[in-house]
Formats: sequence, C-alpha cells, structure tokens
Amino acid sequence: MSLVKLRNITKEYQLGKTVVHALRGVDLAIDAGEIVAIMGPSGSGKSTLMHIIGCLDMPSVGEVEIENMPTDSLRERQLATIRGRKIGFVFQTFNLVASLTAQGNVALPMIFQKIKRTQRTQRAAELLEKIGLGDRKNHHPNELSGGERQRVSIARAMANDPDIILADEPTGNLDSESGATVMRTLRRLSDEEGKTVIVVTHNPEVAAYADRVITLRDGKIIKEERRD
Amino acid sequence: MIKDFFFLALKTVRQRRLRSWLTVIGVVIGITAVVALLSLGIGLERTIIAQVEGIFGVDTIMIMRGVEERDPRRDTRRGPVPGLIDIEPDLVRQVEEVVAIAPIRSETGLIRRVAENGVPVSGFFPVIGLYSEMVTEFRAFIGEFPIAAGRMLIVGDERKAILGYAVAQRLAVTPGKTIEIEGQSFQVVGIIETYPEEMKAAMGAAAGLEPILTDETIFIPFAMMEEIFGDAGAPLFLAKAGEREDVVIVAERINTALAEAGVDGILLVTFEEISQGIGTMVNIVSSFVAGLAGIALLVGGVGLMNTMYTSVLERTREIGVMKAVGAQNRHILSIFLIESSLMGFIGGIVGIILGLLLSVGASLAMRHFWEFELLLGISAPLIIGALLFSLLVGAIAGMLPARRASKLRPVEAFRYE
Repeated sequence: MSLVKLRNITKEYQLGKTVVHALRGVDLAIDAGEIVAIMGPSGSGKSTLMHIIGCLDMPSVGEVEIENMPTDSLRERQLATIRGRKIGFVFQTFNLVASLTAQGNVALPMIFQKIKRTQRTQRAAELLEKIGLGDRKNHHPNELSGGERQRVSIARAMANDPDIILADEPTGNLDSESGATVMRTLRRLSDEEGKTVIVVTHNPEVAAYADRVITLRDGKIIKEERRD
Repeated sequence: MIKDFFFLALKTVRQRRLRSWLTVIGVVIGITAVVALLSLGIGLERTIIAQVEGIFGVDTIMIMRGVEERDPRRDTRRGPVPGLIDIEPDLVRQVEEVVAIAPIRSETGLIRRVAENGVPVSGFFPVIGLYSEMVTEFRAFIGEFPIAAGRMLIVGDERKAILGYAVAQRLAVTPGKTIEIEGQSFQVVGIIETYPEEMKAAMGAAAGLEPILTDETIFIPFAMMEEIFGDAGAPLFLAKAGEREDVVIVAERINTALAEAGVDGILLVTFEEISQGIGTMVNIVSSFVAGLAGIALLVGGVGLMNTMYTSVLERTREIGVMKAVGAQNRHILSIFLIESSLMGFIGGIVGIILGLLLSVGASLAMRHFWEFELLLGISAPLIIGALLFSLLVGAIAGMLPARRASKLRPVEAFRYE
C-alpha cells in the first residue's frame, strides 16, 4: 500500500510579476520502505514537489495523501504535527541551529512533540551513536565537518522516528566520500528500519542508491525507472 | 515546553553575546534612570516626613484659620488662610484627650536699643510670643533653647525677652540690658546659642510658615504679644493628643468643642495629613521626572525591537527549519517573545542594581558634601514594579517581530538567502 499518494499535483506561484508553473499535473505513489530518487535539471520542479510531499507547501490543484490522510483540509497546527512526527527533513545546506550542540539539534524536533528532557537527551545520544558521531555530541555545528553535519541532520530527521525521510540534495555540499557515507546511511535506514526515503538530486551517483528513479522536466514526470 | 523554549532563547541570546549586551544596555540605561529617580523621590519623601515627624510629632494637631470648601466637582479642598484665632487655650484643654495646648504667634517688630555711648541701633526682627507649654510640651517643635548667657523665660515674666545670638550681637546687648520693642521697654534676660541649620529649615517645613527660628529671633512672653502688636489670639495653636489616642478623632473633638463655642473657620491639620500632602507632592514631582527618564526606556525598547527584527531576518532559515521539524506558529511566537522578554528582564535586573547603587551614591554624596541626611528610597514595590515593567517592555518590543517570525511560511523561509 502506498504511503504517499499524489494526484494531479499542480503548483503555480508568483515570482515578481511572472507566474511560475512549478508543477503541471504530477501523479505519484510511493510505497513504504522504498528509496525514491527524484531527478531533473534546475527549475524542473523537484524541490517544489518535495516541499509539497513534506507538507511545507500546499499544491494549487491536486491532492496529497499521507498514510491515506488527505492533507488539503488540515490546519497549520496539524500540518506542523505531521511534519514533526511522520516526516524527517535532510537539507542540502544542513540547516543546523548554530546555537545548539549536535545533541541539541537532534533533540530539537522532540521538543515540539513535548517529549521529556531526559528522554530527548537519551534518544539524541543514541541516534548520534548510531551514525557514528557519539563522540561529537557536544560539538556545535561550526566545529563539525560537512559530512558530519549532514549525518547530524540525518539523526535529527530520525528524532521522532518518522516513516518518511525527505532529503533535498543531501550530498550537494559534500565531497564524494562524505556523500557516499551519507547515502549509505540513508540506504541502511531504508533496509534496516523500513524507512521511506525520498531523495531529490541531480547526481546520478546518488540516484544509484535508489530503488526507483523519477525524472522531472518542466513540472512533469517524464521518466520513471525501477532498479533492482 | 515553555522551559525548553526558555533555554533555546537563552542559548540564542548567549550566542550573539555582543549584540545581546548592546541591546540590553539600552534597556539598562532606561531602567537605571527610572529606578534611580523614583528611588531618590521615595528617599526624599521619607526624609521630609521623618524630619516633620521629628519636629512635629505624630500626636500633634495644628489648629489654624482655614477653609474647608466643598466643591462638588472636585474633592474637598482645604487650606489655611491668614488670620488670628482668638480663643483661650483652656477652651481646647476642655477636650479630655488633649494633654497640652500652646499658641504660637510670630510678628516682625521694630527693635531699638540705645547703647551706653548714646548711639541708637535699630532694625526689624522677628518676635515670637512664647507660651510656657510651648517650651515644656512642644520642645521638639520649638527646638532646644541652648541658653548661652543669662536664663530662660519663666512663667510670670512680663517685660522680659531672650534674644537670638545674631540679634544680640547686632544690638550689642548682654543679659540685664534693656531694648525697645515697638517702643516698649523689655529687659533682656538671656541669649540663645546659634540654632542648628536643619532645625530652622525643618521648622519652616513643618509649620508651613516662614522659618520662625532664626538667630535673629526675639522671644517674649506670649501674653505680651497682644499688648505690643495689638489683636488677641494666635495664628497657630498646637494641641497634643494623649498617648494611645487616635489623633484624627481627637482633632474631630477639638473641632466640635470649638464649634460649640462659636468659633468657626478653623482648620485642623494632623501629622497624617501633612505627610500625605508631602507624599503626594513628592510623588507627582518624582513621577514626572521618572516619566522623562522613561523616554530613555522607550528608546531602549525600540532598540530591542530593532534587534529582534534583525534576528528574525537573520534566522529566517532557522525558523523554516524549526517549522520543518514540527514547530507550530505559536511555538515560534513563544520562542521569540521569550527571547525579547529575557533581554528586557536582564536589562531590568542590571538596571535596578545600577539605579539603586546610583541612588545610594547620591545619598552618600549629599551626606558627604552637603551634610544632608537623605534616607534611602529602596522599596520592594519599586524593585518588583521595575522588574515587571522591564519584562513588559521586552515582551512588547518582541511582539511584532515574533509575530512576523511565526507567520513566516516555511517554503519562503527556505527560499530566503
């Protein structure tokens, strides 16, 4: 059964005086446990698609269902809760909070879900341990390398044990070796914990880790290939 | 959760240490100025009241000519008017609770003295009619009579006078000599040592009259005043209520007794009223001055708001991230409000400490340079009030920036460079 269902998603937005047609009718279903890579050139709409899947943005037309729940009628608070509990985000620029330590960053999403402090600290430490950064938990982001920062942000995405990990160009700012480590980590999350991972990338090496590659161009899916 | 937000805010404030301190300094200056001035105002009020209490005594009632206008549009207006009250002190003494009564009358008299060599010296000097109970019962009011030479006036004295130090020198008299007061001969029986300055000043403040104790004052028996200056009575009577009597009730009784005797147009003033009057006056002045100082606080608040706006702009991405990881609008609102309130609060604490130190310093300086004993105006309501106010300034300054942060749409936050 599909975890994420998109039906006829169209997204237009105003940029200055021009109307940008970011997505023009996208249909997509993503199953639990899959790794899906969304590829395409700049401006093809891949980031917009990811924002819509991640409930950060609403489509102009079309329906989004997450675990069979339509999201179009949800309120701000409910959307925030879905983002907090069901989705983990990994960004190209890491987007860690500079004033918090690695552990504090990993614990941040748990604060908004009202998880107790001791529990948060413990889970954050465990998650960092799991991605091999147990000894860096008290470091601030500016004391970590790019690869380490990205792994911290993966740990943060895992904080509330979501079903879906959305990664927007997760290796875009990393050297190839760190990039490979990050991708192996995401692969492992899918294989061992059954997480659904959606990766936006234009790097074929990254796409090679995916079960399915979807190619977008001008806001439409033009190619879909399954790998084995 | 609020506790967690507090720590988040604290971490942000600490991370931007320099900017946070600069922002806080704006609040500090405002709060310091307001607290210092209010504290000085309170200290001044306490000082004046303490001085009045020391001279006047809490159990004393002043009886003078006055009006009690009932104006329907305002509160009852009361005030003294000039004029003598011609009553026998015994009339007031009839009121059971009154343990002492003394009239006090002061006039300016032409004083003349012909020296041994036949050269006359003359001048105008204050002449006070001294009533025996004034000395025995209202000692604090009239002050000590430190006699430098000769003796004090005693009951039964008639054409006798004691002279202030300065007037005795001017007239070159010693006890035993004779002077003329308004053309009538008086024998000088004593010379008073110089009065302490604060005694003179406090005397004026207490009685609401011209300072009557000067080194140029001449004292004669009270009964002589009518003979020399004409008209009977005195502009001011002091009555003392017995210990453990309610002064206000005693004042009421005196009023009734006087009314029954057909004496009207009388105003009775108790210590309570004087201290209230002083309190109100000092409060108005110090609130006004503190209000001006409040402008500094307003500037500090605007600075804080500016910092918060900058912070929202800078952290647009961070806000987007927090929303992406599950923060609701109200969470973001809280975080930013707590952050600005925290800076206001820190500014408040530092400002209160500096303000109180400043007021203590001013008090010490006054003692050291002007030998004026200004009481400290440190009070719990002032401190708590200032603290709450600084918190409020922080919260208000943070309101709009926090609202903007909370309304930020996550996608726009990520698009922001």
